[in-house]
Amino acid sequence: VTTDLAAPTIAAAADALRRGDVSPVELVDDALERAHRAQPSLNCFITLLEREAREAARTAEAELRRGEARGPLHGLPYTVKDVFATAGVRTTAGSRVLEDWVPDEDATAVAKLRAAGAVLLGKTSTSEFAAGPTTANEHYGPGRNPWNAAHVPGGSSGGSAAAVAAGIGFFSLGTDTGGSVRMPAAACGVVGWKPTLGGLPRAGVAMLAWSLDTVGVLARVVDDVARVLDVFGLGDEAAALDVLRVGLPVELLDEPCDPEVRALFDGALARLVAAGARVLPVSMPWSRHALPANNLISWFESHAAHGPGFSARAALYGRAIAHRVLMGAAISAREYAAAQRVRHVFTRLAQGVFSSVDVLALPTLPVAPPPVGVDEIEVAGRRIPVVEVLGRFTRFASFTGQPAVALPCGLTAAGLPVGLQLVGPLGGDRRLLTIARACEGVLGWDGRRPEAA
Amino acid sequence: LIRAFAQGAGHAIPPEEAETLAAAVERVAAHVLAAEAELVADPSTFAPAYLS
Repeated sequence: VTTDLAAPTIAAAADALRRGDVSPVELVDDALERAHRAQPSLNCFITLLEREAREAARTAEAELRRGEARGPLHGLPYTVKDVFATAGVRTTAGSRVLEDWVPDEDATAVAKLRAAGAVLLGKTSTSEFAAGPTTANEHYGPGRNPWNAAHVPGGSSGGSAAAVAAGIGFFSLGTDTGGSVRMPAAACGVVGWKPTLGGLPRAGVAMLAWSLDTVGVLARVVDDVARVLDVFGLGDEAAALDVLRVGLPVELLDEPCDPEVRALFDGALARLVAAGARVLPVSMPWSRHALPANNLISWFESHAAHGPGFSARAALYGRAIAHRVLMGAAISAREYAAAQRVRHVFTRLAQGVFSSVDVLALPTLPVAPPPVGVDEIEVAGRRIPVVEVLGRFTRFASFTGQPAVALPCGLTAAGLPVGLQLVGPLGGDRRLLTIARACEGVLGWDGRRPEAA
Repeated sequence: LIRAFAQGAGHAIPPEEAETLAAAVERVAAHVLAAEAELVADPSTFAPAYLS
């Protein structure tokens, strides 16, 4: 094999497979070699499925040779965050609680991809039970960023984002409760897609917070995300775009944000304007409620999901998830109901915004990915705990359930990626995907990849 | 509540750590109740004040 097998898009790789220029076995061998090379420095995987992936690749190769093509993902390697159940393969959710759990069945999303002929390479690193924005994990070690391994890959789907950025598999499935697909996508310079709440099937996915958990997709380009969504009947429409109206949520953008990140965000907006978009300030004074109300719901529901398990085996739980479960114990039903009432009104208000704009735009993360192991960082002159700062711009769409996408839009002077986040209205997934595709074309990222790839 | 739940689960948590968690919950819950008062006119009828 003389070509760079990790560089093509899904569409290009599918074409190459159809022509016989490359085989599924070659693609999987190449991805496994990259995975072995990257694992010591990036810790992308909790479980690598070398034997199973090679066997699935041989099966796909034989099927393709017989003309039994199952679609564009047939024979292409991918990964899933280790919160998705996989039949016959241990599924830890990043926890010691489940370190020996081998499910009998695949999660629905994994079963769909298996039926589409995609080849599962491995189960990627995650914060314990997907709780945490950095992929810190005291049981399986921290995830690391392929652009600079001294920095976090974002989280909690950090292993998925790092693997995609490092060219290990064409895409990955992650989960997003408060930004856990979009944050690592931004930190690792890839595309992160969170559909409308409930858009992708979550049966068989370890739960963190029932009314917030959303399955999402990470890939190197928007078209790859679209090809994956096609498997679920959620691909975009081939629609021409009128003048794009981009809303700037002024109150949210007053939140602390690193000046270099803000400058890259403003540069991305300038590129959209140069391409014909109109940027309009949008005042949403109530938007400040998203972060606290989303946190309260998330802690309460984490307690509901994990409280009984914690009571039985507290010693197996790491500090971050234990804290969430304990905080949930101190929230009253009255307070939880208030948060859900606020959410109901908030979501109606947030839907109303889209009568005057097509998307809302925010930086995905307010800072560049912080160093591994750092608890506090300085943002615009203030010391703020890392766990509090990273999700400030992603909680809005988690709270409303609206679809959102993180697009890479630049590198800091230190060479760390920065993301642009676009949010659309509930159910507006197809249009948002079309818009993301158009925006990607003018942001100037041009498929940049880390040296680790 | 945090200390009681931890104790019931056999989970040792230093008092100051429990206090920090409790303070975070109190802060967030106070914000949420204030937000409810701002956005929801009458929780019993679920009328959203902001939309009226």
